[in-house]
Amino acid sequence: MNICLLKKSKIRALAALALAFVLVCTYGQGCGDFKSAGLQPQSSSSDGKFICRASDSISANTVRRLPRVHLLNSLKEFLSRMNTNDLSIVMANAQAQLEQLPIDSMERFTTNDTILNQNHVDAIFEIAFELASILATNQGYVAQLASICGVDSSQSSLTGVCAKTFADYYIKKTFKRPVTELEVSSLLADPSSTTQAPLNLTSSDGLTIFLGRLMAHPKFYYIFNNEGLLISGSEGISGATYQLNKYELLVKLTFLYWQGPPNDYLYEKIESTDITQQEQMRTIVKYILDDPKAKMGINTFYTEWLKTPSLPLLGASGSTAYSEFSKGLNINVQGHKHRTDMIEEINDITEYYTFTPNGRYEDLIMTPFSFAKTSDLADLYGVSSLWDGNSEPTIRFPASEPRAGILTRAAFVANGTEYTNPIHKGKRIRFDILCGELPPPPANLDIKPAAQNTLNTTREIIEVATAGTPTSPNQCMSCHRFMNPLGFATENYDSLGRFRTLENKFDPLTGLLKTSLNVNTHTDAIVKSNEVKPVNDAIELSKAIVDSRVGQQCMVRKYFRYAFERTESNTNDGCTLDNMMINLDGSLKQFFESAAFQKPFLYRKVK
Amino acid sequence: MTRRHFLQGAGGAILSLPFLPSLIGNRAMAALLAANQQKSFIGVGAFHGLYRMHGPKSQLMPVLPDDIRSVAGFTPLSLPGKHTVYARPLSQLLQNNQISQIINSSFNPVLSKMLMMQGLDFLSIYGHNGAQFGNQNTSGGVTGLSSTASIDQVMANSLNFYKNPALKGRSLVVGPNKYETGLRPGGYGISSAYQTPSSPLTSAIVSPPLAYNPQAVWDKYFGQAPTTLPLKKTLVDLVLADYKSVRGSRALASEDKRVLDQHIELLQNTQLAVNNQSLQINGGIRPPNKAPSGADWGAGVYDLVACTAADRRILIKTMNSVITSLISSGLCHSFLASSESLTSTDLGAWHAWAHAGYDNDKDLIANVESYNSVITENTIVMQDMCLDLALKLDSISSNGSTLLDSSLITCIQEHSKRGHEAWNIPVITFGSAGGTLKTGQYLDYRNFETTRNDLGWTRFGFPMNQLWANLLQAMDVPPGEFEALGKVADSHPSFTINGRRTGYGVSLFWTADGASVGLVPVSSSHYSTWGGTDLSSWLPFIKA
Repeated sequence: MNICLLKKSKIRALAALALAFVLVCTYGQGCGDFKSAGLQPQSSSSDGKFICRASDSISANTVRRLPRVHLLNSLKEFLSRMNTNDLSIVMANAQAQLEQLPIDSMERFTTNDTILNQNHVDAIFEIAFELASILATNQGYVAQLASICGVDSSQSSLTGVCAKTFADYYIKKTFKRPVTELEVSSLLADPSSTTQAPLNLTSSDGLTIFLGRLMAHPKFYYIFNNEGLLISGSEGISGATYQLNKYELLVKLTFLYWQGPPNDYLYEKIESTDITQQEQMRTIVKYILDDPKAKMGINTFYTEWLKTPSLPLLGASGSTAYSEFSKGLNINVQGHKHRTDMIEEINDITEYYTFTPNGRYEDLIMTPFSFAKTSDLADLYGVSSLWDGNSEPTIRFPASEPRAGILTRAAFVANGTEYTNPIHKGKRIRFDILCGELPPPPANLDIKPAAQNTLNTTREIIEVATAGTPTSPNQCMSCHRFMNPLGFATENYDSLGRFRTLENKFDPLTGLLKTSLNVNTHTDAIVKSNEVKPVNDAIELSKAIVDSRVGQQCMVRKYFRYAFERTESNTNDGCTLDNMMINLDGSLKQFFESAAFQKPFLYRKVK
Repeated sequence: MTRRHFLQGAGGAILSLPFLPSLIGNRAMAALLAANQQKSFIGVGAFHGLYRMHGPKSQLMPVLPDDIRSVAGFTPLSLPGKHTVYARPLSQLLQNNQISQIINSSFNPVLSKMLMMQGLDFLSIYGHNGAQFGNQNTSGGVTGLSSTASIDQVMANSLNFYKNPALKGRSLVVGPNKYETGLRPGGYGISSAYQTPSSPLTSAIVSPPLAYNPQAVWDKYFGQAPTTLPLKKTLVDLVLADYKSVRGSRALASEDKRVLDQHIELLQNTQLAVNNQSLQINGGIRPPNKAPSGADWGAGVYDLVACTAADRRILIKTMNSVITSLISSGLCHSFLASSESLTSTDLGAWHAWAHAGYDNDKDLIANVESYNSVITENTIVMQDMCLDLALKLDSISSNGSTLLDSSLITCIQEHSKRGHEAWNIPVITFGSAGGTLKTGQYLDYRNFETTRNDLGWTRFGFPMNQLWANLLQAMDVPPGEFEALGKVADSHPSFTINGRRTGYGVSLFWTADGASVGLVPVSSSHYSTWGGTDLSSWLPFIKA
């Protein structure tokens, strides 16, 4: 069977790799070898170190808007004087406007999505107006906002000194730094007054204008980072480089670790702390990382890196075959949430090892312990005890059903059907875990879904389908050799993550079990450059990834992109990457903490 | 309800000026919710009856036998000294997914919020009237009664109804055209108002002004009321200025300026859109002064010789959109509407159609064209006037409750299915008045324990006065307030308890001569045993 056909006349979409059971071949340009295909990181050496060059310099970047999550958290922090319940009600009442805000792309981290379109601009304005309207027309809400003037303050208090205090406070939260008299008087000016009289904040209209203007202000939505010390170049001229001032640094820290702006405590603390000095900054970073919000912030990185939310819905087809395949497991039955359990397990693994002293990258990839907190997931894993969510994990998998780290967990091998998808699994490891970059399938590729049969395992079907043709034996494998083997290694876990030695095949007509075939997980994996590494299963593959250090390098690259909001430069960022790699060798927490002390974080070169 | 459903309205094919719930401001909703659960009342008067409104061939009420006592599924309630009444969930009365030809499947989304009641009697009336909401001195054949205010006016002038004193007195009476004014007999109005609202006990009763032009209504309220739109315009101008100011900073590098330039360009589009919203307030849109066909509808539907039948239906729905805007903006909460010949330029067509179309005594359609015109008229009343408004109110929600939930739309017929017979009236409501009424029910108040059937003279049931009293209480007007408005001379002793003139409105009986009212019930076998009945108490089954 060869369904890898080439028809130049048929131009197909480039989404081939993402489709289940889609076989891809190349025509014309292929992936070639690892280096020529650009698969090997150019700024790293063969021993797993990044190359720190003397010529390294700060790369320029452009002002960026807030990602959606950062904006939402900024709005909540702006209104943080309100009690939690009222704040929830206010946000819920503005839900229609909030939903207008586009979702950021996770393809290259949401922090890297700089797209700005009409929907963004409309939404920002509508959100600001609606929130301001809701707040300003409710005396109870206004009283909470006005509490900056004292606990018994109300809307009628917003005159004189209190109005000034109120304005200072909320403008500061907008500008994220202390504000000048001129800035305050400008934003407090009544637009209908010809004499520059201040807005009447005791009226709901005046308050609506004031609060709405702040929430829609460019300083609310954009982070400029151009108010620090100019260390080279000329102000406002491309290439000018600024050392961030302490307020800019603080804002950058909390957006990195909390996904939101600083709180009032930090603004107050920073008044007497110069965090441009490393030791003082370390104190603030420790405070930020010790806050529960840091877990949420770092979890965002892991989620976007590992793309756990992309786990397909289980059994969405509702086919008889899937019912047979998942018989007795209560998949999609009320009260059971297997898919959520699978995703949460990855979150738990990453969070546990990140915030546990000396938790390391190796633990993520090799941990032998079960993190199943529900009996549904534990049943899939064949373990009888549940992890309590806090203690040091000690529950091991049965010796006959071994697993290592995240690559062997259900969230990495499951999909929505009764059969596994080795290409997809392999592609995910290649792209996300090893930071490989394959060219997209050529446009003249004819793509056909591979048909399952009851005579061959899924692996065998894929091997045949991507074998190429007698006259062009490498046309498929020039790229697929970088993906297929990585997926074959996990074939001893079925598409629900259960360990198996046999693959069940279902009758395509009746959906009933037809036969069971031996699975084969032995494969020649390519983890590093063009080195072929024979592995017997996913545990050995995981070890190879750790030993090669390609996995660690990849995590460093991913976090660089997430934290510094741009793709690393092979020529300019080697020293930063190398520093981060050294810290990753220490511990995960040390690694995350160290990012804030890297040059790309402390400086900004403008374009 | 989907947005598509909403925009299409109940009629499906005809698009009226839409009400856009997505545009409704939270400012308005916040103000509304803060107004201490203000309720809204919308009365709709339908005219003439004289068609198969109930019974085994019913085209309006649930299709049931003339006598439902042996029909399974009903909950009976035996009342001492009175007859047994019956209730059943409306959802159990669907046949082919609809209640009836007129109450078709398009009502199903709000069926659980409806009440359908059969068997309410105008005690003092025989013949044509405008008494649907208490303007009971209007029967052309009955003289000598005092004038009473219709219940929409009682509500509008009650501070128990309007929690905000600034709104006291606000009501909107919608009529088909400028001729529909004046109290009956002689006039055509179904709303009767206080000439001196500050003295309701002594005030003369007059006909209120009618509104028939949606644009004029819009301008009256929104042209004067403060709205959020000027604020929004001001804000977008300020925000744009702030972006330009930051863009002008000399610390900004060229690429940063390019990003802000892009934002400013997009924000200018936002500004343009906001300025173009000048006709939009809280999801509503200022109506045009012309019908879709191009005819001027400023004088109401009857004067629209140039208007198509579709134009007239669109006018009704457009008025509904304006009413929805008024309610959602907290500007007015008492409404009354009526319409007669909605599909004809002939003012009296409805009367001729009804009498020519159907002979109840023989259950015979005498003139198909006339009969169908009556059906069309009633379909428009129920689907375009009532359901369309109900759906619009139901599309606006906050904290799980919709404006329909806090409202009460009540459609009362002039007659039953026999010509000029002002009892055994069908009543259909939408909304629970803030949870006061137990909706989703069919309630049958008819007395099946007499020899009457629904051919010829039909059965009596419960006094309409009791329904009015219930509607007033559902709208938070207590008996102590509305009972005092009743005149001693117009109140039957059977319903006067310890000096309380219970119920609302005239409770004397129409007499056998058809021209006067008196103490003897029309049917001595029916109401003669009702002595001591408190007509301000809740009708059976109706209270939540």
